[in-house]
Amino acid sequence: MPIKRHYKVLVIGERCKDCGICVYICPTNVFEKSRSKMNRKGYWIVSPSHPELCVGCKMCEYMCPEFAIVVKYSPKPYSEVVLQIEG
Amino acid sequence: MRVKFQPGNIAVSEGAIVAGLKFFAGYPITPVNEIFEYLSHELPKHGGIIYQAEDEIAAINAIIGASWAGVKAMTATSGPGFSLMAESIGYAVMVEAPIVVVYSMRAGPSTGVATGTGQGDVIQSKWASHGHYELIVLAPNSVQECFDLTIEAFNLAERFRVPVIVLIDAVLSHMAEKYVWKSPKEVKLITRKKPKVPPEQYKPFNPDTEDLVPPMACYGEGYAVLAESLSHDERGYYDPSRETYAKLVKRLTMKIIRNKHKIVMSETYMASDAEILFIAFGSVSRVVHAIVRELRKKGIKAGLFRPITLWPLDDVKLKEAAESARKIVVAEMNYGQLYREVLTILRDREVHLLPIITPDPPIIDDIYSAIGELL
Amino acid sequence: MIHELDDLLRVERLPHVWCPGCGIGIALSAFLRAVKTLTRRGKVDPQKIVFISGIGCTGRAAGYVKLDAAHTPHGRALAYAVGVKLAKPELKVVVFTGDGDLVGIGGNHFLHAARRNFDLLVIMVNNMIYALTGGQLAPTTPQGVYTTTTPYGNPEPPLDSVKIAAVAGATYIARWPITLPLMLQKSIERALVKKGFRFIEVISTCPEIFGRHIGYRDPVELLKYLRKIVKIRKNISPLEAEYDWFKVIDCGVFLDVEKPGYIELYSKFFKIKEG
Repeated sequence: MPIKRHYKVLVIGERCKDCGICVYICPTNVFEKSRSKMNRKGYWIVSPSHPELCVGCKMCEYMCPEFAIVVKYSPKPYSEVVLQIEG
Repeated sequence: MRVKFQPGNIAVSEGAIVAGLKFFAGYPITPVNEIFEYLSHELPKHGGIIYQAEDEIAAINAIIGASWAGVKAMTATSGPGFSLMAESIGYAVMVEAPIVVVYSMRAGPSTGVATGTGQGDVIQSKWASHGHYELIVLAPNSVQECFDLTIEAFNLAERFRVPVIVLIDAVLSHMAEKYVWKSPKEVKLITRKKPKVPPEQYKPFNPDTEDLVPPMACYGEGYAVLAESLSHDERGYYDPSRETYAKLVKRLTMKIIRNKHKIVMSETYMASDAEILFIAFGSVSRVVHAIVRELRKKGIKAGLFRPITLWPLDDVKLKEAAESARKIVVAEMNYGQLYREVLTILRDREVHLLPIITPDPPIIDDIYSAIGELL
Repeated sequence: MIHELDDLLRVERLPHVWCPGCGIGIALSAFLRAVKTLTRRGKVDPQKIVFISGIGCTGRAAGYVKLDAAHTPHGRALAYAVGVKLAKPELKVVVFTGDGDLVGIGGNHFLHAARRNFDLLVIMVNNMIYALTGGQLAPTTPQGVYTTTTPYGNPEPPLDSVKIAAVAGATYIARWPITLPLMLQKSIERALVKKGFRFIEVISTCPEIFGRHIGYRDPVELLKYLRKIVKIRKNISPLEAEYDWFKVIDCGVFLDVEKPGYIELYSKFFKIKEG
């Protein structure tokens, strides 16, 4: 029985430009365009609404032109729109 | 130290090798082909690399790249080639790359007389590129000066992180004279300041001293430096804001103007009591030197002021030399380029232009007849 | 540091200046991932990479990477790169620039660098337009298309740069769309450690300008169109590859050979150190 892995999907909010590529490219529809958070540049930040559907293909991370998405292994499905970056 | 008998082009090449030239990119153009050909032989023997580019634009950009990679770099050209290099001279100024460009003037405009000589590029040698900026132009008038001033050109370029133009002409390029050759151990050589702080604290365009020259970290040293052609702040990041732009352009300009006293060079001959002061540079200054001697024999108190740095011009010494003169005559092979600068500096005096329009090396008769009315 | 590429980026300058959905970000991302992977394998030292770009939208990339870099005058990225490589042969020099910059104004330098088989990796991000200045004609713009300088339609046939590189002489020629980021990354990984002139053309999307000109302003719609016309071909020569925005754009690795690069050729006649 293969192990079911979980992933955390992080969106670096300040970098997102709401282009919609991640929404389109994700094979399991983890992302949704959203009108809940706007960043300082005036873009609506995409929402990683369904991390539990993530299969870890990382196409979103590779196709995001903004270096704004990070997908990593995680003990539980998790997603976050990161608004403050330290370091 | 040795005595050599060589043409100006070769003396320039020897000077460059002594100064530590390690990269030469060139393109064939009369009258500097001998520099390229001689260095093609000699430079590899001294551990340098020489390369024929596909055009002058490639040559000038290659030497700026080589300079940022950490080596002393030079190219040589004439009027049509320098016109092509114009945009990139501005780039070298903007990224503060120490480079030397040997510019041997020939008869222009356009193709002109390719094998002729000229002095029609005084203004272009400084102002070829767009925007307001400062750079240094040296004008040798003998084969000895071709050797010495090429070494000085490298020193000035490294010290002030600015392109330096060695402005000779076809006559100087091809005439052979005796000169004293000195080895690298016998001359003062300057290399660019290196950063004293680690990469996290280093800012590529932040001058750490009063001379407004930033220390230069080069490629491959771990400093992740950016040679930015856009208006940039001290980190090298593009910033079109008013404060950053004003600060940058001011510093690039003041870097030369404030250090002018360390850069300018000039010479006088019988100027202290002269009533008619001639101003000439390059090979024309030698002819004028002879004329001054002839006039003195006839009892006319003539004198000569010879700028060695054309840009910036030694205005302090010029005013001093012109003190006793009633008339000042600028003799040059164009219709008034150095003349305009002299006119600005000596604006309350009687300044005349003596244009010598010929593609051949000027002779005493050319000038002698023209000065008749001025005496 | 959150994103794995944050140590190769000047993060204080992000978000970058490119439009939403711009392919340049995707191409740069693939390049930096290739650098990261090769660094992990000990094949490359990021401190010895010099990243050179020209003028244009793609040219802005030099300002975002945390590597030794240069933002050169228009069309002169290759000329500058040649000087850097010859002065310090141990550096790995990468030219990352746009189609207009490289094969338009920079055409002469491109031809001769390829001919000499100069040891450079050249990545050309091809968005088929002069985007930064507002959408003028480029040498790679498809025939018939509206641009601001050909408002009645482009009369010119476009240039297929892959063919020029092939005829002039190169050791690695590939073309990838930004819709295949992993293939692009692997291609860069392979090319970065080779000798000689390596040319990778990246077919990119410019939704804001080129996309708008042809009626595909939405980044996702343009991406879908690009996916449709790209065809991966194996074992064809660069001269057989087709480049037609309205029919098919053949992609893949067209040439991968070993030939002495310029540094090696130069060293045969003059003694210099190779890195």
